[in-house]
Amino acid sequence: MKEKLKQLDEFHWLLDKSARDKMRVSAIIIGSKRVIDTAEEEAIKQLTNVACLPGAVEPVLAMPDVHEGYGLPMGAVGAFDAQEGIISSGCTGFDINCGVRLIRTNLTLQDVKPKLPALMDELFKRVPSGVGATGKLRLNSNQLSDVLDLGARWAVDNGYGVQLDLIHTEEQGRMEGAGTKPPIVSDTARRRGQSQLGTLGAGNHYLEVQLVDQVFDEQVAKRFGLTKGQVAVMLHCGSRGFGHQVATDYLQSMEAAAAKYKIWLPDRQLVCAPASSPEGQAYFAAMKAAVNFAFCNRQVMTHWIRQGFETVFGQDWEKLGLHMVYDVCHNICKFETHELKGAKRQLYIHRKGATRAFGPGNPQIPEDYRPVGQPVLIGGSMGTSSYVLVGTEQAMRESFGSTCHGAGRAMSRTQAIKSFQGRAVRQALEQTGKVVRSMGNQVLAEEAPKAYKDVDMVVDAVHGAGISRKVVRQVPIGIVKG
Amino acid sequence: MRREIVNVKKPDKQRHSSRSAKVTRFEYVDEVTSDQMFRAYGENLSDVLVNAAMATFGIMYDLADVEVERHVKVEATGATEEQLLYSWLSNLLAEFDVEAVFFADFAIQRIERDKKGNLHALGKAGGSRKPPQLRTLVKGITLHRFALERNDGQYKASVVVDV
Repeated sequence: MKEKLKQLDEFHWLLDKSARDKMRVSAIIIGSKRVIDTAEEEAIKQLTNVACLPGAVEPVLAMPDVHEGYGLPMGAVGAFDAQEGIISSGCTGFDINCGVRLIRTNLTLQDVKPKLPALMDELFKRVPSGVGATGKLRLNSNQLSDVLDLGARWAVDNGYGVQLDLIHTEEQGRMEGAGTKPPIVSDTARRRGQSQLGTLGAGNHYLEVQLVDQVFDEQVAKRFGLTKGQVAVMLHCGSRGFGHQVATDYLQSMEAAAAKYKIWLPDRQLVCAPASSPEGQAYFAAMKAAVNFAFCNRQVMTHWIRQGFETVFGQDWEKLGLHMVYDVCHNICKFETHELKGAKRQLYIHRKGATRAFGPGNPQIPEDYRPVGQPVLIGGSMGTSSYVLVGTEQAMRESFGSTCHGAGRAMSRTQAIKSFQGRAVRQALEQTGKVVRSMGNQVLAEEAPKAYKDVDMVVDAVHGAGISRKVVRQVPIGIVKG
Repeated sequence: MRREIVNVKKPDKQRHSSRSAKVTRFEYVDEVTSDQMFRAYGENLSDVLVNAAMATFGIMYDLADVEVERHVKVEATGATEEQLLYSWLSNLLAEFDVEAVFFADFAIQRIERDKKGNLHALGKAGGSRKPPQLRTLVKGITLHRFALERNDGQYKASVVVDV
């Protein structure tokens, strides 16, 4: 399939819909030649599969961090017409609203370094992580329903944050119209969610204490409250078992729906239903519940992170400047209006390993950021750089207001375990001064920096393509992994 | 409702090995980048269900590190044997979360077919609440390349899990 790519310019590659049978629309891969050279053939094939689905709106997009996944590849965006198109649980993934949150501080490396081991111990103690982790909160049935309905707002209303946290969260921390009970949300999903609020999870989820080491755009950085030498905290996690169960439930029910509506599936994982159908809307309502659970999850952990800093530094978190920069989703389906060829169209935008990147002036961006655009948080792989970017007008025109989400895997987990020793990865990180806390060593092997693509390459590509611009770069100094 | 009972075999004594004395129970294959794939085998349906369960949980931790001290009943349903496998693995993951038990031992007690032709499996999963040395988390069973085939009486399951 790669041989059929046509280079449009330095960062845009076209896969015309004639590339294979049954493609309804063309696909575009955003990336440099190096991105294309390292992209897997299977990932590109998966992109073309999505282009075969009903109501697909041109183009189906791959970001520079694209890699083979299941259904929609990781690092991709699929948009579908709201009336004629589908909505797909397979295109959103299991970890619904896996996302990233950035919290700044007014501390410098000089302030933090002497207390870093103690800080990491405190954060590791306060934020449950790892396989099978259960939370410190045990929600009763009514509380769980409120979490699913209200999202991060529930957390703030119950003392786990402040109003400004909501303002600086995508969707203000809540998607309205969530279903909270059967038949929309199963009892099994509810049972899984009840004990997991406020947990980090495992795998590629993490909590990092980072240092802003480079500023690319002083004006926007200042608007976001970021400066060189500043310490910040990045949190990466999602909807935990609740979201996983919603995804599982709807994979099964949408398989039946696809047959009912006679939708041909080039890949079984692309199970879907017409967006306007009862099945499609049921999934959308359940997905919103999982989105809200994840927002609430990250908000509760934010509170515990603030408490951890208070304990170690002996000051109130507000005096320490632990304010939210922003919180973004990168596995989600959104109902959005976009202007295409001069006409406004209502679309279901599936972002799987992709981040919203709205440009300046958009009313969905918080007022204080609106003049410059939406913050875009790009988490690097373990031990490597992370970035803050800003959304652009070009993203609105070219990529349904979307950009990349992170580094993307370059190597399978099996290969990573064979290639790297967890203990050696830990030692290598510690030798560079990073403090690492994790539940085991194998996860460090799987998440070794070399198992991922070069995040600098990915970010340079979206910057070069104009769909988001670099604002600051951060490097990790302390890492908590599940 | 009359139910037909499908033949059920007792689990092998070498509980946690990917290989029994004669056959391969399961193997991890390196064919997907971001997730994990395995193939599980069995001489009959209950065998392949058990072996697929071992393969799934073996991704998260070494099953031999778990001392079985409690059991949880797990049911599964499917219109086809393939859907039954999906239901079984998904329900095991759900119970792992809900019960907070690290499963290491799996057994199918019976598989029945109802009048409408749907399959119902009743099984149990044994494990411990004490966490073993942990690896990564299986988030779900994908439908990507998901298949349960039967050739010459041998079952082969292909499963990609999201980690």
